[in-house]
Amino acid sequence: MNEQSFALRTEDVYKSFGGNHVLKGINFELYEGEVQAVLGINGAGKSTLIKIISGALAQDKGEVVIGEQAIKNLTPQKAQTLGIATIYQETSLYPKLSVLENLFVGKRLKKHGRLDWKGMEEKARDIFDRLGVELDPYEKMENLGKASAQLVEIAKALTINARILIMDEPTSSLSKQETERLFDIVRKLKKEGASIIYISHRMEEIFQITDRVTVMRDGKIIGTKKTEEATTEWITMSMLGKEVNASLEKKERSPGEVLLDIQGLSSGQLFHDISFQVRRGEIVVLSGLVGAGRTEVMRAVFGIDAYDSGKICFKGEPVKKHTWDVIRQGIVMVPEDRGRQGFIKEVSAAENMVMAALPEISRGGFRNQEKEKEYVEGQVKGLLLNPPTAKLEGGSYSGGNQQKIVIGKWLNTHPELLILDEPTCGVDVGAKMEIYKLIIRLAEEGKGILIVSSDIEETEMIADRIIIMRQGAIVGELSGEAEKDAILGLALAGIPSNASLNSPEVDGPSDNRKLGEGEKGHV
Amino acid sequence: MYKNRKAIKALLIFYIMILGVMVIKEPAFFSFQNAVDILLNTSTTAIAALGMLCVLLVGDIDVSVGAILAACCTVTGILAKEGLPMVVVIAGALAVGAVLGTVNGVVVTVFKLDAIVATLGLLSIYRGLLIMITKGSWINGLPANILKIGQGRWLNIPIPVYIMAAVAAVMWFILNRTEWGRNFYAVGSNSDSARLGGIHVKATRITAFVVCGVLVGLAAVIYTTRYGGIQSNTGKGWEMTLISSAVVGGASTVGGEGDVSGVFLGALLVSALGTLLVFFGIDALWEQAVQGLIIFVSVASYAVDFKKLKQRLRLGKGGAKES
Amino acid sequence: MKKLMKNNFFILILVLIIVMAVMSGMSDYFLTADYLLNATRFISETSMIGLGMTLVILTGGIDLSVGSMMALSSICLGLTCQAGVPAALAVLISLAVGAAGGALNGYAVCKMNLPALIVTLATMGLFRGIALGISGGSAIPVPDALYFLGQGNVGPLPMQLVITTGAYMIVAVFIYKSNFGVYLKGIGYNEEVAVFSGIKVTWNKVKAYMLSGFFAALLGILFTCRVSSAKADYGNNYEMDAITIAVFGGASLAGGKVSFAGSYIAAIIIVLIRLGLTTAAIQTEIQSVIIGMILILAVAFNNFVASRKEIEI
Repeated sequence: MNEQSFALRTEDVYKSFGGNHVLKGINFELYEGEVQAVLGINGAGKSTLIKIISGALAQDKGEVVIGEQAIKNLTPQKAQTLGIATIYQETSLYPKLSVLENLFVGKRLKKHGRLDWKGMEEKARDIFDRLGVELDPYEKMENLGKASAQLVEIAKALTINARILIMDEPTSSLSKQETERLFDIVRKLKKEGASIIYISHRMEEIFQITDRVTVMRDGKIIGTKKTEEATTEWITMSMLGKEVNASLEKKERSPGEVLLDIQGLSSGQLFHDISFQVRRGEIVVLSGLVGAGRTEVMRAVFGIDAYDSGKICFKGEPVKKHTWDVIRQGIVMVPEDRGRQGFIKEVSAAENMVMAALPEISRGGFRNQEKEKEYVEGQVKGLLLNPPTAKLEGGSYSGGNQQKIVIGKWLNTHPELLILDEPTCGVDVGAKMEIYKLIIRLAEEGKGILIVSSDIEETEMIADRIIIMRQGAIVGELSGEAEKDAILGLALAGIPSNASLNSPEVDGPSDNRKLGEGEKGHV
Repeated sequence: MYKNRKAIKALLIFYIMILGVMVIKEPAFFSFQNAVDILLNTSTTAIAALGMLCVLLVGDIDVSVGAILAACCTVTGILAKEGLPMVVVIAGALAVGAVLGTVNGVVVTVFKLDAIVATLGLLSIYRGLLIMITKGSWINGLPANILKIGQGRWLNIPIPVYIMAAVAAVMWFILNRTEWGRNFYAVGSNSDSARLGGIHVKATRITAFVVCGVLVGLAAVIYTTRYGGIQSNTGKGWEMTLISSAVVGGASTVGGEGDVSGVFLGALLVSALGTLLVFFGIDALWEQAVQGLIIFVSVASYAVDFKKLKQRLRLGKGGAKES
Repeated sequence: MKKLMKNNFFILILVLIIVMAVMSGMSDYFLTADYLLNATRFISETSMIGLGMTLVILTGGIDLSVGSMMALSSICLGLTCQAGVPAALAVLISLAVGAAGGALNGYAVCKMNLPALIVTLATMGLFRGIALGISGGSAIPVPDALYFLGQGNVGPLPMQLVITTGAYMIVAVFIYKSNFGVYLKGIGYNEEVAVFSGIKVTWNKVKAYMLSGFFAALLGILFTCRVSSAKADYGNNYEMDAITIAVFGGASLAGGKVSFAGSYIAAIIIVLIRLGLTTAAIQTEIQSVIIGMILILAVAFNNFVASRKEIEI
């Protein structure tokens, strides 16, 4: 490893979006042949930095130096010819095209002036072999699952002879074996002299694979350390800027009557024989890996998707078929993808908050302005919305406040059971705590809470009861006092805690925060 | 190179069914002459529909093609009457098509306007300008040598059929074997990542409009020379014919899907409809209704996921609409 | 009232005033009551076709079949009257046909998840084809008893003006003051959110398409009664007018954002320009160039002001 020469440097890079300063003088250095982790909470500016390095965004001020050359007007194409390959999260794929084509868009092989599909197929199979995955190059992309899509993303970066490889949460949907395989490739590429920028929220991966760690916060680089010298405490402190106060006040709550009673629920390949109950005043967390079928169960309960067999009862009554009836019964759901399913960016927060409650607020189908105002203002105050007004366009609130708007929308319908699917996904640390407090308060008020969460710390912090799903089935139930590695063991291998330590599938430190999913939607 | 074979399969089944009925009902249908006539009728539609395919592939739409056809026909007529050589006449028509296509592409991409609305506006602008220039007069009496393009035959097969075959072959090559052809698909499938992948998205979209304009220009040369004259309202409503052909052939209006063979089969169906109705003894007045019905049924059947439908019927329980 | 002032409403009024000023400068009798009242017959017809389109665009869809539906309803009216059905019933049947046609569009778009553009392109051919087929392509006279719908007056005001303005007001009240409006807007901006919010997406969208078919049929009746006979080629290219009006009025084809007041004013402006140009003996071709320009400039302008955000409850 030649630590003297830089593969890439940025000099005093500034970037702002409409007065919002995202990068404030970044001097980032990447040595040749090293793997460097870049860490930071959402909004720290790491994605913006990556986009500038890969040419997707232009900086306002400062320079990007690749090798010895300062590159002016970097475009994605220029970056590619300079040997910079970026593995984005799966959004950059082409759903209607074949896997093969996805790999080669922008850098297709040619022979005699025409495209060489045979050659591309051979190369694709080579790369798949290197990655140790089996994919049909002619499968249509949109027919593939999330994990396969991520593998295609990785394979895509390997089709060019990359000198600098940027990996943005590459393992978020991968299995343990696939992750290991990826790490082998990373090590091999490193040996061949390539430099890698590695972005991940999984601490154990960072300690396992990287040489140096850079932490960003508020658009600045807080520090860079050799990985062996960096500690988890140093990293979290630098990321957050303060010690996290991870404890929450919990009042004694005693669960009341059974609200939700699911019996033997099954749906095709998605999940089978799901049975559990949620009581009044109880916080139940449905834990497990992404793709374990948890969201699908929730969608079935909420009337979004149909199911094959089983019974869902609410307060003894069967749950109705259509979402609008389910809401009237007192069940609401804060969906996983806030931007796509939770709320409308283009209309005001106020309108978002009354949307679901209109049948209750309106008179004979006509809107009642005073009552709407009353409802909305009640939520703005109760949820501590920031800024404390509901008149702004939904998209102009921060992630955490957007989530509060979604919760406010549902509280206006006076639900008795709240289903929250990854409620703190894409929410910064401060707002996360507020949401936890809110959830606990709602439970204290006697509502039933059912949370789908892949965040193990979150689960440990707020759960009264933890139900773990794996591959479409419930593999265990733990009390709120359960240890992290117990949850992890069940989620990963389907076996209880002590055994999990000996399991070959599960390895190492159990302090990884996320079980499966990368944080979505960061700037 | 994923292909949506569903449309082609469905169309082929449909053709076999029609031909089967014809064998029993009307053996006279199976004459060389009739086959040639149908292909001749298809030629202009198929050529231009391949242009429309390009625009649809990148996720846009061009409803001004009728006006472009009229403009190119007029240019063909005027140049031919000037007695200019055939090459110049053809080049003139193609050039006008290319220019108007460029205008469409630039207005849609550079000014970031919705393709339907922008080309709708341009449609009336082109038509208005055209009639202002020609004073609405008809063009007749073209020189005989130029008429050969549309009316001539070689080996007893009309020249337009050869042109159509050549265009289809070239378009197949472009869309499957060249970088910029595949870029159409990439842009239409996910324009954001196409940009990140180093594809010049705006240029690709403009190119699609230009290809469409050029192919409409070529169709115009055939059209003019085949009928020997043109009127000012040539090509009115033609955009619907082209979009129908492409869509029946499996092209998606949101981009990224569609191929040459499908569009050819679609164009064949749309153009042969009139002839078929005559053989079935249905009044020509119903042609439009049948055409509408066929588009409706074909698009609906491509969209239906039969496996899921069966499952649903079996279950008898459905939730709200799936995302 | 604030609701109505949203979008580019003021700009439209400004354009209207300019158009009026220019027109009255070009022709002396343009600003007379007689001329303007007569003009409202055409204006109302054009606004009517824009009303249904505006509703459908609000849901994020488009309805190309309005012109054909107008012809189909016209033929229905003619044929039912010819068959001896009482005039009032014939009108109701035609309106029902319109709503049914709209329901077909809505069903295909929502339940079968097909693109609205293609569905309505198909039904555009289908409806006009049926109109052509059942009428045999010839004109069918309608009974005198119905003439008042197209030629009559309510006080000094032409019948069309009263009906269209009434329709606009009713729709506007429903959109801005009732749940239906919030639902359509929510669906237009983000359908999946609407599904997750327990909004009956399919039913509300089908309602929008049915209303579009209904208003197209209503226009078919008014038009038929003005010209005294039914024919299958009425309303050719009216879908283009309808889209122009909606977009010029401030609608975004992506859905969610429309303005009914804007559509109404836009229709007035467009018809006045047409009439004014005709009165001033300017060729229809130049008119079509001007209308095309207006459409493109209007969209460009809409995009330009889209950055300017102002939201009220």
